[in-house]
Amino acid sequence: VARETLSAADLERFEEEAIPLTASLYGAALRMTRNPSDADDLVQESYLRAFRSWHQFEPGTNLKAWLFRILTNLYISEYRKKQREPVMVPAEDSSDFDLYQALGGGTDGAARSAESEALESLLDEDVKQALSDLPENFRLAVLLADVEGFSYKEIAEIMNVPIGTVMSRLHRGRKLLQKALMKLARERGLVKERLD
Amino acid sequence: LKPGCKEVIDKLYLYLDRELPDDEFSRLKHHIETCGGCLDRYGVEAEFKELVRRRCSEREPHALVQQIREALHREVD
Repeated sequence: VARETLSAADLERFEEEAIPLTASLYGAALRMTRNPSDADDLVQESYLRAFRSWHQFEPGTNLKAWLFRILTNLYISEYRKKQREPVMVPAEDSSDFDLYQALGGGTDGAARSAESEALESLLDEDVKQALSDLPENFRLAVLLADVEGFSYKEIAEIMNVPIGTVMSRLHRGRKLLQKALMKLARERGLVKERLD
Repeated sequence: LKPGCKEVIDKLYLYLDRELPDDEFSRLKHHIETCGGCLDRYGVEAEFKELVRRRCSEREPHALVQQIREALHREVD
């Protein structure tokens, strides 16, 4: 397939619109590959592919979602096979984990202030690591929804799955992440043990 | 649990993620604002979502951006 010729004017517009999104794409690539060097390569290759397909981008549609779709597809086709990820089923079922209960919810405002105290004391690296440790499908759903703020419909398009699947992955992913971070906060002594 | 609490619990993520139709959103909002337990539960989930966003965001990778710009310019040379 002959590549359409891209001009300096195309490049100027692409850089102006796409380069400001590098922090988001790089963050996603880091969480996906869990390796800074692979993340660099993945982001750079995504930008090159995006530019080569620039004529296919419909102006006025969501550029960030379009770039994330390219990044995600490239990750799945080229990088994932390099990762030695064991079967992606968490060892234990956390779908019923209830952060509100775990924080002693029941008294007005009690759970919320316990959360602020415990989880705010964790370091950025702790939260990043806990997110990176989630099984891939859950990790991507949480990343796209909570870090990047995409809608369910956009996530469904980026991950190429139905919206119902997005919702269940997001639900389980959040529960797993909450459980992992609460466990870490307990180990660090950041949570007051409940007496019941 | 008061009437309405179960609906809030079931749809909390949809509410939090702004994925509900306007009428449902308003109904849940009214309940949450007038129910201490649901307000606390909502606050916990909203704070958690915000915590993940804040703690997992990255700064612009300056060196990488420079490499990307150079690679892009080679595409049109």
